[in-house]
Amino acid sequence: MENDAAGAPKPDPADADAARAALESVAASKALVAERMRRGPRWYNPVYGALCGLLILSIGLPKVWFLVGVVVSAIGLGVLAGIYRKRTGIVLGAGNPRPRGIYPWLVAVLGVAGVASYLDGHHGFPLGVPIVAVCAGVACWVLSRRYDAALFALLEEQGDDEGRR
Amino acid sequence: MTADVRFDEVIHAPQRLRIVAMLASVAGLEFAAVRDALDVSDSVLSKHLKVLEDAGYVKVQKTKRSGRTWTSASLTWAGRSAYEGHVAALRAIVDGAAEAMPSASGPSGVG
Repeated sequence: MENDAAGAPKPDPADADAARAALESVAASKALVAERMRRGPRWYNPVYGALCGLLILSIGLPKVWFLVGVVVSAIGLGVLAGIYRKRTGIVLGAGNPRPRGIYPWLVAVLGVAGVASYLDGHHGFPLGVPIVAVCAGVACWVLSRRYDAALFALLEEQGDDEGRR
Repeated sequence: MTADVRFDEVIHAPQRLRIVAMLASVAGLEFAAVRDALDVSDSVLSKHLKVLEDAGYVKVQKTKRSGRTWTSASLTWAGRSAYEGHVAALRAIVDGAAEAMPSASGPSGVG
């Protein structure tokens, strides 16, 4: 529903208090979401990293084990998302905010993966895939923790900003 | 926030503003999580979600899992845009810049 009644009366400046109260309720709602996020299991990040690492490791395995690795990690990630959802009430997906603080870490992870991949592809590095898998797993663990921290900070910053008005 | 400043009467109802603010922070939320946060009954929340869904702001999804039906809600792109515009309008009011608002849906009173 669009509201484009150009000739409609503008809110009275006397309504500033009510608008401030509305902004405070927005801040409180964000704080509630941040509090729910903190209910996620503490082992979520390392398990997430391990499953991502397993997924990458599967690439270097023979066909049958490749399929086993992919299926196990895919089911594991689904179960993990389900547990997180059950504990926090939050649905994980592409719609999550992307705090800016996460981008340098993302670049660092891609850099590590790129270097490891280069060594594997151009220099016949014997343990290339396992090393990439371990790097990716640790990176996903660290990155998901950093993401959580950045998201908490973002929600609190937005909440503070609106609460101060 | 660079959203268009746009006061939105659908979102401005206090409970709906809280629902949308929560949904704007995540990809989606379980029905029960929103209900508990607002401290309202299932029927009251359903009514608000229906209004938001009819406005195209919220998408409600039902999934069957472990023999139960789980309901979750997420904000649509239009809903996120309307929410950001509405928050910008509230800020404009608070900042005493109401005259800069290009449009308003004619709320008789904010709150």
